[in-house]
Amino acid sequence: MKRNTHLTSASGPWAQSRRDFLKTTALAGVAGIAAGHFGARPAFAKASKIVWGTNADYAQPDMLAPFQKASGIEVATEYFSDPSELVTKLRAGGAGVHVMTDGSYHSEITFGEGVLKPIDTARMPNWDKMIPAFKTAGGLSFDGKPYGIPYAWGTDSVVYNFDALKTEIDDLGALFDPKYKGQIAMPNGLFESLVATALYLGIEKPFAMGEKELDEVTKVLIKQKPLVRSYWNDIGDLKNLMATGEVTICWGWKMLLDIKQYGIDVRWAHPKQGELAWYDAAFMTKEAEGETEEATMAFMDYLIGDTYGAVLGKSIGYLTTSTSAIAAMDAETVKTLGLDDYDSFLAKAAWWTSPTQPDLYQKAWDKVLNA
Amino acid sequence: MNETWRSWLSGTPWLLMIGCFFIMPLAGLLLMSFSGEGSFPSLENYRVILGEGSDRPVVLLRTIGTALTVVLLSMVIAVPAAYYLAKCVASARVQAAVLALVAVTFLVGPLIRTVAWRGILGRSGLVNTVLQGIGVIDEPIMALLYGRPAVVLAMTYNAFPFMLFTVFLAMKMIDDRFLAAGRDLGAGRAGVFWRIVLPLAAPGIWTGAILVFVPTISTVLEPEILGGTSGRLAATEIRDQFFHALNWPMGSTLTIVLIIAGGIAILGLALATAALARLSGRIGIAMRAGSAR
Repeated sequence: MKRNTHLTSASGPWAQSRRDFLKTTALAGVAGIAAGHFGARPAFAKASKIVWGTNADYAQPDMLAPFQKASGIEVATEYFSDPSELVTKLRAGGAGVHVMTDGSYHSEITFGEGVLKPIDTARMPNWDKMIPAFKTAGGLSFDGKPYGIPYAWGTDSVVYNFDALKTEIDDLGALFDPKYKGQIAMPNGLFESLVATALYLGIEKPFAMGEKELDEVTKVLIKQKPLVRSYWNDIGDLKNLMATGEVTICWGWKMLLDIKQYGIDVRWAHPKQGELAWYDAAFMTKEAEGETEEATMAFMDYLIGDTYGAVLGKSIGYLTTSTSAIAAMDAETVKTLGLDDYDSFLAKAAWWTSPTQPDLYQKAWDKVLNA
Repeated sequence: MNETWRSWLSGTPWLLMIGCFFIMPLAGLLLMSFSGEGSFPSLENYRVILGEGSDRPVVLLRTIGTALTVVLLSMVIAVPAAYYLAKCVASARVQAAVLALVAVTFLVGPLIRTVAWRGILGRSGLVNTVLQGIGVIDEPIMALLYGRPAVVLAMTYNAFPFMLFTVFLAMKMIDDRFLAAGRDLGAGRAGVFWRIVLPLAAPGIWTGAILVFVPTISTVLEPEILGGTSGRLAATEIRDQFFHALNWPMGSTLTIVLIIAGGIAILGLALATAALARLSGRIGIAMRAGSAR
């Protein structure tokens, strides 16, 4: 598990001290409006720096620069490959992270650790422009209060190297096919391989499996082990495995398609058993207080605004939750990203959620790894 | 202030450091390991780990077995190399140059050293490319990477310098007149090595074994990066409990069990090294006294 800390600093006249920031706040607001980025930007951002615990792909310089330039708030990042790493630090105290990215699969666990604080969506102008389905999605509100702002979504599925396999894949069974022995990679997470296998076995509720169903899934995964070349730990690891030809088929994420740039004909499968949909949301941590809380709210609002949504799709192929960002994209980009008919897809999506019995899932995955 | 008090006072910083950074955290782990579901103290976690039907003992044995294999391989590589370097190479400059070459590998971190093995053992790695290039194989040998052999190989590569340095120093300190006396009394080169050098170097070998064994049982890099599906060892399991499952009591219990199992293995290593020294040198005090007096 790798974690890097990178400071993404503001540039130009906006990279200034707090005093300078106060002097130039009004000018920054005008500049934001002129650029069309912050037309409705609230005037509550005060702290000069916040720290965002997230994945490196979400915090590329071109994604954060517009916010930093217009608001003067520096967004430092603390990268992690698994939100649990950050939750462990937040629980211990003094992590120094004000906003964190967490997914629909894990947010309930994070909430249970008592490290999050509720947000006031009325103070976020972009909230009303969000795709309605996301406002009511599970894993965002707890005890009747909103905690998460979903800003990116996509699906997980089978990814394969067409050059190597020479055939189209439309069945999850390919991941369990002896024909591909030694060419398969599966995720090394607490739930992901279990859920993918449940989907393959046609289990109706992959996130609400009981002991009997998990036993069935575990047996299939243990039987699959001799076919698997490696369990991948993070998306970088998987990209490496696929790009070097160590594996040719895997259960993966959309970011894996990046390796097309190396001339590899890597393809995204739409298996007949279905795909899993997920979202990533921004959650404010209890370490965001006072001025930092205000700045954090402004940043979370930016994540569901036009600018970030457009760059997100262009840079890493992830989908925005903002209707206004979609409206601002050109028709070709909208079609390429599959955002032209998001309503019908969302209606039948199998959403990642926290497993109803995480302990059982963890024991099942332990059993697979230890076998 | 009498001598005893002065001794205690001079040792206070170190005692404080050991107390704060070793004993207290360890005591914390021990206490946490007795946290059951809603009860304290409880042996529930130990029952889960060591009870019937648990697969944890297998992982533990696999971990200890892997670490002992690495110690053995390190000895096989380091002992003859150290002997040759300390007793057969006369030039101190050459000795220093060789040791510096080994030490220089530490300038790159363990992550880089471990990942590098992917480039050597992988499908399109150095070994497969060379073997295919000279026509020895038609298809790449996939078993080289992502399995136990790759893990053991990388662990040995990462840890054997600890053994080399300690054994070299132990052998360097052996008075050459002992060796000359042995030869004068009719012993061959092998006899001198087995009956004089090895027993006298036993403390160095023993220290090297500990220095190799301890980091090896607690590493997660090699099994994670090179282990494939068979890579899970105890340290990875502990990491997963603390950072992924957020089950700190279980992570603490696994840590305590690993420490105890590791301690038993170290005792076994000590006895084995002493037996080796005793058998080869027909002397019984090499380990204790550090010399053949």
